[in-house]
Amino acid sequence: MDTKRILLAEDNLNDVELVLAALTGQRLANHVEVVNDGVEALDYLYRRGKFDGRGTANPVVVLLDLKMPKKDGLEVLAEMKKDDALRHIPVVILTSSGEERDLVESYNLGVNAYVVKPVVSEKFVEAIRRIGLFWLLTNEPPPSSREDDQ
Amino acid sequence: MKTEPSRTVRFSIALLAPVVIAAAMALSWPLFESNPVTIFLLAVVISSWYGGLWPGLFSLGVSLLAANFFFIEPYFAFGVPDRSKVVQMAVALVVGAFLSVVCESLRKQRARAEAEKVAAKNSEDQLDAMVNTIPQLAWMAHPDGYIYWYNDRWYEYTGTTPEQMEGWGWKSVHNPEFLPTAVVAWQKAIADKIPFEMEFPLLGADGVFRTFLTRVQPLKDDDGNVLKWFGTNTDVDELNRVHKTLRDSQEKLNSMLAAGSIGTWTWDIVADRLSADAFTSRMFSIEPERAAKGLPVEEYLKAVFEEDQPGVSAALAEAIATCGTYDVEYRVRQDTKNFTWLEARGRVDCDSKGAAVSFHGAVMDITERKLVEGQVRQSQAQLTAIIGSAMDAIITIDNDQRIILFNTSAETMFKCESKQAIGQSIERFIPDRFRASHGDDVRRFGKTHATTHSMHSLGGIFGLRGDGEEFPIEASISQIETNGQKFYTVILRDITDRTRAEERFRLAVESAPNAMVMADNDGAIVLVNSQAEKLFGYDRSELIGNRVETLVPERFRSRHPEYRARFAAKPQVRSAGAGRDLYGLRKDGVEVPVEIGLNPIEMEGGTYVLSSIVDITARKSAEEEVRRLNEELEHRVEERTAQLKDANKELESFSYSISHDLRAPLRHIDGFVKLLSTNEAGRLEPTSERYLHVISEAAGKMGMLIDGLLVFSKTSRATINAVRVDLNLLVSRAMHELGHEMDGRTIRWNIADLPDVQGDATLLGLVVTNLLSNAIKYTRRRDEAVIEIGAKGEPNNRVTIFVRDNGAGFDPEYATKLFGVFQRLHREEEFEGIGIGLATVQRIMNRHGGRVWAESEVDKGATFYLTFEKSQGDRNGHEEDLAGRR
Repeated sequence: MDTKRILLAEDNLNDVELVLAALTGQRLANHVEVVNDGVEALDYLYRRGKFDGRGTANPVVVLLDLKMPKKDGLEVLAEMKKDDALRHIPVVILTSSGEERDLVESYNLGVNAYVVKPVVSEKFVEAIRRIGLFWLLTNEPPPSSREDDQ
Repeated sequence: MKTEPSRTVRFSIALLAPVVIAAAMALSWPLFESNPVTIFLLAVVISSWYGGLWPGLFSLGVSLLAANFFFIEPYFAFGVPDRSKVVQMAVALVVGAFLSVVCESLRKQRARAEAEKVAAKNSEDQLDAMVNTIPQLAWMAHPDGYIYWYNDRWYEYTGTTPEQMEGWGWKSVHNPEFLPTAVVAWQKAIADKIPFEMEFPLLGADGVFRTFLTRVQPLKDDDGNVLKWFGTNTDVDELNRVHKTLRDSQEKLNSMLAAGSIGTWTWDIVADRLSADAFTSRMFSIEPERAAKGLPVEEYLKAVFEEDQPGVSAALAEAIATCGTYDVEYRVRQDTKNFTWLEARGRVDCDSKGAAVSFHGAVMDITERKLVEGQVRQSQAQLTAIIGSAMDAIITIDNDQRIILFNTSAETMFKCESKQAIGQSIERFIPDRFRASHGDDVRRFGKTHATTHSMHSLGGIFGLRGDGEEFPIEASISQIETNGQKFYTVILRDITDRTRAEERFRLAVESAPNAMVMADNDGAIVLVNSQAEKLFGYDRSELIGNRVETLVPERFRSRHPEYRARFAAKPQVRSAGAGRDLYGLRKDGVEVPVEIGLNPIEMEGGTYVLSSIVDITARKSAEEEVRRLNEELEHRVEERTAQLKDANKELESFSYSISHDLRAPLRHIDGFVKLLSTNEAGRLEPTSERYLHVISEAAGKMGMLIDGLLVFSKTSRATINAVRVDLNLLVSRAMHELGHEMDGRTIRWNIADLPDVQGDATLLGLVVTNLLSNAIKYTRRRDEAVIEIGAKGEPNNRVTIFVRDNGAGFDPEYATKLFGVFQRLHREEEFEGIGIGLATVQRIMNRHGGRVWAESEVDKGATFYLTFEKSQGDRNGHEEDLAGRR
């Protein structure tokens, strides 16, 4: 269980805190790795920069905000789905808007889920909690999510 | 010529000569003392030379006597001298006599020679005179052929001078074609010394060659040497003609006789026996044998037409009475039907007492001539009738302008009777101011060889009626010459009416608002109006008579006659130059865009083309302006569209950032308020709890506002995909969507069958949802809510849908505010809402070309109406239904 990681790419620290708060109630918060922009997200996935020392296991799911500095969510998604080593990692877009073009573009790139963050906090908490439970517990991740036995 | 001296003179000289010698001897005495006789022989010679034999002998005697008396001793006496002196005297006597005889013979010889010379001279003069009087050309030449003399006729005929004819000058009047042959023949004649005869042409002073028969005869001496040549040239042209005429008439006579159209007769008046040849007897229907023997004249007269008989008898009687001639024309019967016209001529021979003895004559068949004469008379009569009945006035005048024919139309036209006009000068019918020029015109025409021409005068020609009225006429004139006299026939037409019609036409053209140019079939301009003058900048006098191409720009000019020909081939009212831009050329060289209408006009003298020309410069520039404005407008529209697109884009990114960036803080507010209330649960004052609740509510409300705005703005931007939409489906879908809002409610739905409409299914779905949502919401306080949905037909393919509820209603005074953004007629506490729904409905309806309005009263429910474009055709089985039912 310890090896199962959720990667949360979110630049807004308020949101990070709300997400973590929502997951804390389920004791899932410690499975979450947080990066604050698209570049960091990719660094994490490719284990480079400050992440080159991390374990080999891929996250069971990547929660991507769309509007992020440097590289936005869609760019990260595109790069992941282009790379054979990363394209199996489930990606959930977690965003403030339900703009149609974002939806269309995301699904074109092969996103696994698209969640609009509700404004009302009860609904927000509920949504995040369900995502966490589903990807960490219900879903069987691809094999690349397991730590290599070195 | 010297005349012989008279006898007295001769003997005086014979006496004087010895006296003179004696005197001379006496003066020179004693020089001749030894021989005083011999010297006297000189006197004898002189005397006999001048006077002949007898004066010589007389002089001899005187000399001997004088010598004896004066100079022989005894002096001054006739004594017998000494012997020597006697011998001297005897010798002198003999010698003197001999000298006299000799001189006499010499003298005779000389006189004969002189007489011969005179005779010769005379005969030459006569020859000259004779040769100059003969009608032929004549000349004389030296033996070598050198012509040294021509007669006057030669010079007259050839028009040359003796200087020009000197030597071989005659060659210049020969025809070069014939000259070599003539020269060769002439040279051969000279060489052979034989006469020469040849025909060749000679050039006359008038420049015409005539054929001459040339004969040359040599004059030879006894030895056969040629002394001179005599030549004559006879004009045989004339001769040939005379010969030919003679031959012709001979032939004619022969042929007439042979053809039997002439016969002869002889009447022995005394015996009354008229004998006739075969032709004559045949004419008079008498057997030839009897006629040849002779019959009484009565027998012949039987054949003559009864009515012609008195005339014939009278003519015969008169000829006999006057011993004169007889010339009558009469008819003789051939049988009951046919007769022959005869002309009979004859002459009566009388005896010395004046009594008629015989009558010779001839008859000739002139039936044919009579026939022709009859025809001529008939056609003359016809002509007279035609002239009399002609519509045109016909007047014939002689060379002195006297009227000799004046027909009925002329009488009417000039209001003058024929008998008053005949013999008058034509000038009587010409207005004063034209008289002089008219006379000139006629004389000029008379000098031409044309037979007819139409009379012109600048500004037309006019006639003068008997009552003094002037009127325009059209005239043509013809001339004939009969017996050296000229006659002119003028045909006139009164064109008063036509002129008036033309004048009206002219006025109509003149007053036309367009430029008008009329040209004849050859393209010559005959009429222009002042508008045309203005348009083209020409004075009309510069245009009339000129070619219409003058008004066509150079680059189109060469093709223009072809266009004209095409129009002439199919003349009909049409516009010129279909599909082409037409231009006129002004006098100042400026081209004017024009539009031309063509109209064929039939008039006296052929078909004319009347063109109406409109200067379309202003229209062109107006068209140009319109095009420019259109382009500008289009450009502006494009610009605005681009701006609109930009604005739309901005709006889009604006709403995008709203949905992202405005919602996030609200989420944070609400999220952290929740965290706060969770963390502080039980520790907060109830008031604080309420504050946190208000904050949370406000954030939630704000979120809804934002969502509403986003939907509203999306409806403005969204593309309308108009398809057939089934409203029933939209209604049921909306009711399903709104299911949670109806929880715990009693709602009676009255839903009619709704028609299909044309529109965007998604947006219309939003409309229906909004209206139903409102109806549900505002009937919340009714125990039983009644919501009715129906449709009303409208003209023009439109349909009205209404949604009626029995809810709270609204104050109709504020009905217009209902559809404003964020406009609400109810307080939040009564009915929650953000005031964007109806604004969205109105926006969508507007975008569909439809309309939404509402009717209501407070607490009495509200009705919302929608008008739509009704969809065409059957609802069922239409492909688009599927799209509508998504």
